[in-house]
Amino acid sequence: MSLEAISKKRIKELLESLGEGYKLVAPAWEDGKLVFKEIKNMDEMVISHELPYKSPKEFLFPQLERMMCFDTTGGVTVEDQSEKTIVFGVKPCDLEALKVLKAVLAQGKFHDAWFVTRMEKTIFIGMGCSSEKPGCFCAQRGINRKYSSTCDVFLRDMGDHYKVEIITDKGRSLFNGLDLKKFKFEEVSYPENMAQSSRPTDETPRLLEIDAEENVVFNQVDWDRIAERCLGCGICTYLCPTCHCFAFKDVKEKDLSVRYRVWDSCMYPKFTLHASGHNPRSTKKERFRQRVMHKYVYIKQNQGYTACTGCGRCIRSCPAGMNIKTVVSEIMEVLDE
Amino acid sequence: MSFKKQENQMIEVCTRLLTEGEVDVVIGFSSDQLGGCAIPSFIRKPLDVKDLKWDDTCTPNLAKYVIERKEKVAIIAKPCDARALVMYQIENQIDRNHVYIIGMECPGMKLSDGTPAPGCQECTVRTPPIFDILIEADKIQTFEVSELSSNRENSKTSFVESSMEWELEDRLKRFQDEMQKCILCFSCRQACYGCYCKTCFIERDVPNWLPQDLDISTKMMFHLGRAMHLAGRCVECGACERVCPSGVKIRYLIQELTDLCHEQYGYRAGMDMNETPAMATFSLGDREIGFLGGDQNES
Repeated sequence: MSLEAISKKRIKELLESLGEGYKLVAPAWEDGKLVFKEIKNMDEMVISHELPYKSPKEFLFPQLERMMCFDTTGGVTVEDQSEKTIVFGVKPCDLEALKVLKAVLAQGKFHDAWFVTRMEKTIFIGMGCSSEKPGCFCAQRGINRKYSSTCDVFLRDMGDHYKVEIITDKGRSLFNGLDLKKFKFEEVSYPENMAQSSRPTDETPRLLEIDAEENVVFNQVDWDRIAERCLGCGICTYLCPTCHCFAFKDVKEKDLSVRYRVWDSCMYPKFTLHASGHNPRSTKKERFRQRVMHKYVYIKQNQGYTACTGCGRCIRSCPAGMNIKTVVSEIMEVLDE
Repeated sequence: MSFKKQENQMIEVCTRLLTEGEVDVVIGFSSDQLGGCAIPSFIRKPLDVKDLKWDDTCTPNLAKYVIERKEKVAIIAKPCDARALVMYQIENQIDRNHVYIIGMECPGMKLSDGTPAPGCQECTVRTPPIFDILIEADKIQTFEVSELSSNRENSKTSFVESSMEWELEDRLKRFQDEMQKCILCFSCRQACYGCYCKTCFIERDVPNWLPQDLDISTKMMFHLGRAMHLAGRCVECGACERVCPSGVKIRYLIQELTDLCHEQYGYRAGMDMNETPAMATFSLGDREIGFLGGDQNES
């Protein structure tokens, strides 16, 4: 792996050359909100430390995915709407979230073909993050906000230039055939201790994590009080980089029946409504408990990761001020006793 | 300074109510600890009353936390919260004997970036229409109503942008541009005082009002449906726009209906407990101007 540097001023030019044959997705302003969106004009692209308000998961796991069509003769056509995509400027919190999505959708007993195809066709270019926004708590989730290797290429901020780290073969292929000299890539030698310097420099606070039996967390925490403020909308789940629950919807379109996959949310009353009319999660207490337990207990049990990266989106956007960080801290205190 | 003065009085009242056991819980505002707007807070012990706060970031509408509650509650009510409570009583959603209303005179609230919260700039109601105790603001803090009315006119003009004079296609485009941003998280519905149906029309399976895909017509149907259900009921708290994570500016639809209702039937929701809501009464002379512009009785 060669260590190469590129001047910050030339990054857009580079992306323009890399982006040929790819759909380029990067942060851009849209009505006062920073979002990940398809970049058609390079001037739109925003390179900053600001975290877009939505996570980039929608490019692997879209809110609406057309999966397959059934016709009247019994024929089934599987649909694939994926495109070769570069997602640029993804911060470590969102990159670490990919581990969770991959573990659930692409590494278990069953593989989600639509997700896997998109994953294969998508190249993630990561960047570090230097500013904590109110509500951010990645450090307490053990995430280094300056670096993550869960991507294909990482651009490390070195002041006036980026150090380009190619992490996967997919990332390497992007640079193949590119006349690097044109971009004045310089070979720079970095000191040996680069790896160490990527460790978080701030004092590492106690990790926000729940280490307890499922039933203990389930029963010993006063979920009624914790969930009292919740209004029951789905903002937190839709903006979360790791939430991945979905539903199917068969829609009649002319002579076809089309199966769509749509995002679903554990915060909605219909999420667990049984055909009998019974609902095991009938109030917001059970629903909010499920959200916390899923992130901090169940996925950890099943996949080995806590499914919260501390990006703080759910905290910043919650209309009622629900704060998963303080909720988990409170639970930890209860369990400590 | 006036906020502080009101806050002290408010804390005094809440402490008394909890100490004397007059209520079980006080629903008010407390700090979010992040430097943002105040968040809803539920206080059950007199010792915790100190966590309550009252300043210009107390944006949430708390009325919705009162319905379906079995305890006796006291609620810190801005004029818009109080108007919602009036509507709840008219619509038989609360037992007035179980709700103690601490009315707060309110000069308008701000978002965490210092800009006026949606609805606050053009709000003409500074004193709650209903309360058990009123905590007044200093005169310095309250706006002149004439100033407010002109604010309202200005904001309405920029807001609705005289859209009634627009070409139909332009109106549709404006609406669709807003709809494009919607991610159907339903936070506007959940934050709205008026949306308390046990099963929302979009969640009914038969008939399937809303196929749960993200086609733009789906979003249009949801927002138009919600607007129609709020015609003549909106208390102008601005929650729908304030809570939207995607910045959908949809209040103009409901504002148009609210103004129409006021102009045509002289009714403003939540101002008077004894007044029958415009949509709950009918007389043969009523004008039938509406979404489609049809008006049988116009001469």
